[in-house]
This record gives sequence, C-alpha cells and structure tokens, in this order.
Amino acid sequence: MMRYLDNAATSAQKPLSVIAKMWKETLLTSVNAGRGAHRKSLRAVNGINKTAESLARLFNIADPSRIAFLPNATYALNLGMLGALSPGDHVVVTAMDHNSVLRPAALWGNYTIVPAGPDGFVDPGQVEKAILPETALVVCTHASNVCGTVQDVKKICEAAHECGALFMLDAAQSAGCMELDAEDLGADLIAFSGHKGLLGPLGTGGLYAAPDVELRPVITGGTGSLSESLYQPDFMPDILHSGTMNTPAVMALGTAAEIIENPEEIFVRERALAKDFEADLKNMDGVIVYGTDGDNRNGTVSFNVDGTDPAVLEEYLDRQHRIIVRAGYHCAPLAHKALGSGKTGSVRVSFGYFSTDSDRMAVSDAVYDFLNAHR
Amino acid sequence: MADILAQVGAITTANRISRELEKSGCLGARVVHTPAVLSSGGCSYSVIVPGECLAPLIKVSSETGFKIKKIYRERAEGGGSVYDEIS
Repeated sequence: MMRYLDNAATSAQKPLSVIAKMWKETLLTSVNAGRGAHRKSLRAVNGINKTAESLARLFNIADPSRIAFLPNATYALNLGMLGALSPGDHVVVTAMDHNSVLRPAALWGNYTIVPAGPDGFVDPGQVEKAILPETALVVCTHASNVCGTVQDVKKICEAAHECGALFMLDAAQSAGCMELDAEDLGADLIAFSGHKGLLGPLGTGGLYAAPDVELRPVITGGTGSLSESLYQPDFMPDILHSGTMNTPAVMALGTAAEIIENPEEIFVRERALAKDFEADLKNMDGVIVYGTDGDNRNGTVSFNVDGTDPAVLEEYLDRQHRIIVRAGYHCAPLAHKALGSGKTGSVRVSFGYFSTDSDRMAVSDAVYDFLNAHR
Repeated sequence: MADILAQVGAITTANRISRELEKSGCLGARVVHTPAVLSSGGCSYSVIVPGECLAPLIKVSSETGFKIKKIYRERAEGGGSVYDEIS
C-alpha cells in the first residue's frame, strides 16, 4: 500500500463526498458563475455562496461576502499584499514565511524580514521592532510548512495594530486543521489554501478581507458586475473575482468544509503523530530533527540523516517503501537557514487528516531501514 | 399584489438576498437581469419578490447589510411592465 505523507504540500487524499461533488458539479455546473441569470449560472452562484458561508462558519467570519475564492493561497497572498500596499509603504515579513510571502515582499521592494530562532519561532517583540512609521502591513505564516512551528500570531497581530499597520495571516498550513477564529485573532487579511487542511480540490484557495480593509485591484477583468464601467468593482468579493472561476472545485470545497467539524481535534491528532515520529527519529543515531519539540507545532516534521542528500532518502522511501514524503527547501529558504538546514534543505514528513499511527510506524521503520542499509 | 423588484450591485448579493428571504419564509424570490428600462447597460441584477415580501426584503437588507440600490413596484401597462420607484 502507498502511504501519503506530504500533506503540507496538498492533501492528496480527498473525502469521497468531495470527489463526488466535484464530479457532479462538473457535469451540472461547469458554467461561469454570476454571468447571466440563467438557471445554471444561478446554481453556480448559489453553490459558491454556500461554500463562502461554510467557510465563514468554520473561521468565525460574520460576513461571508468578505471571502473571495482564488486558485490557491499564493494568489491570495499576492493579491492581499500587493492590494493592501500603496506607494511608499513598507511591509514586514518573517524568515519562517514561504516564498509566496517573501517573493511578493521582494517584488514590492520596501520590506524587512524578521529573523527566526533555530527552534523555528519568530519573536513577536522582534516583529514590533521591525515596524517602521511607514509600515502598512505585517505578514506572518500561522504554521511553518517546513517544521510545523505555530507562531504566536495573536501577539504579532496586536503588535501590528498597535503600530497602525494591517496584519495578514498566511493560513496555508492551518486552515481546516487548526482552530482559526478570524474575529478573535483580529487579522485584517487571511489567505488560505482550500486543497490542504480543508481537504478541497486542487486549484482552490481564498482571501478573507475584514470589513474595513480596502484593497486595490491587482488583477482586473470581467466580474459579471458593473460591466458598464471600465474600472474594477471596489467591493468584495467582486474586486478579486476577475475571470472564470473553477465553479465545481469551489462547490466541492464547500462540501469539504462541512466535513471538518472540529479543527482543533484534527490539530491535536496530527501533532501527536508528529511528536511520536520525532521521538522515533531521536532514538536513531545520525538523525537531525529541526524545529521545536514543544506543543506549539502541527503535524509537520523536518529532519535529515547526517551526510545524506535529502533527495536520496525521499527516493528511497518512495521506491522501497511506497511512502510519499518531500525533500528540498519547501519554498522556504530562510526558514531552513534559521533551522540550520540551509545548505541542504531537509526531508519533510507531514501528517494529515487521513494519517494513522500505522503510517507513523511505517515511516519510522523505513528511516531505520535506510540507516541500516547505508551505514 | 404587484411584484417588487429590488435592484442590487452584484449577482452574489442578489443570490444572498433571495436565500435569506427563503429562510425567513418568504418564498418565490427570483434573480433576474435588471430590466433594460432601469439599467444603464452592462451587467445588473435584481431580485423579484411577491408584493407581500416587501417588508421582509427591507428587513433582510438592513439586518445583513446587503445593499439594495433601488426598490420598484412592478405593474402591467399596455402589454408591458412599468416600474414605480418605491425607495
């Protein structure tokens, strides 16, 4: 049997009801939502609105119309960051961020990267120090896609607000598999992927913008609204909904969101698997585990076998044991630098919704076999 | 009682209003293109509700924040429809 442990990239295993919904709506609703008042268009709009309402319930968002659907979290981060910034503005990001945050910041040009410790945490006090009078936005990942550390985003959000800046949360790794309460957190912008912890189809993600947040459009085009104007509508979600949406996928994301009743329970279960796996690794000679061993982490583990190219171990686990993991930099080079794996990257095992203790034991045994075979 | 037409800014809003009305027991709401005589062209959508749903319509709009641009009462005249602005 194959064991899929690359859930930080995407949850390749989907609930059957999500697959069925995607199939059904591909047959029935492969139409352009909100472009026309014919029955299929209205069915599509209704389905998309239902998905927004399901996600609003899950994230404790009062107004579902503040959620826009986009192809993935990368699009959401780009549209949120570049849409919230005005000429002269400065943005603060962190070393634990993914390239989908770092690259828009670099593209913007006026930015500061807050360092992280070798345990994979960002100190909110350091974030506060990095905020300048012209800082308009602070962006931080909720959970690291490299080693799973969960940042103190509430404190970072408070620091941003105290200095008059907006706070944007990168929830790519946390949406659906961790408690995420938009109201309690007070984030101004939340970017999320639909195809990871939320168990939706590939090509789904979105951006939440709090009611008082005004975005500038980055991508413009047909929205099915105010079509007589040459200018993009200024209201959510239309300001972000240019072009044809993947209607069946967004509707299936709604089905997935309804399955997830208690994200905290999922978080605790995935974290337990990660901690047990880490304990197994730490009993093996020559294995280096990166990041925290505390409780502020999710189900993602990064490690290396001393002197071994991570890609070799990835290939070994796949070819010899049919276990899917991921080697490399995971598009977060600065996180690796902070953790001490900057030269090689690491092997990442990321447990997900369908992972079991049998998977954990299998991957531990397989790493152990690798050590025996290569020593 | 004559139907009521509520003109809104986007089809998303139209859909949400019609669903909220349904939840409140006001059945028969329909999302349509805004009639050409009321629209300056382009994509504009409206919700048509039975006349008795006027009060629930206004209530839904104020409670949810879904913006209604204008409300009209529809009546038949000379084989066509005429829209009298209410608010």
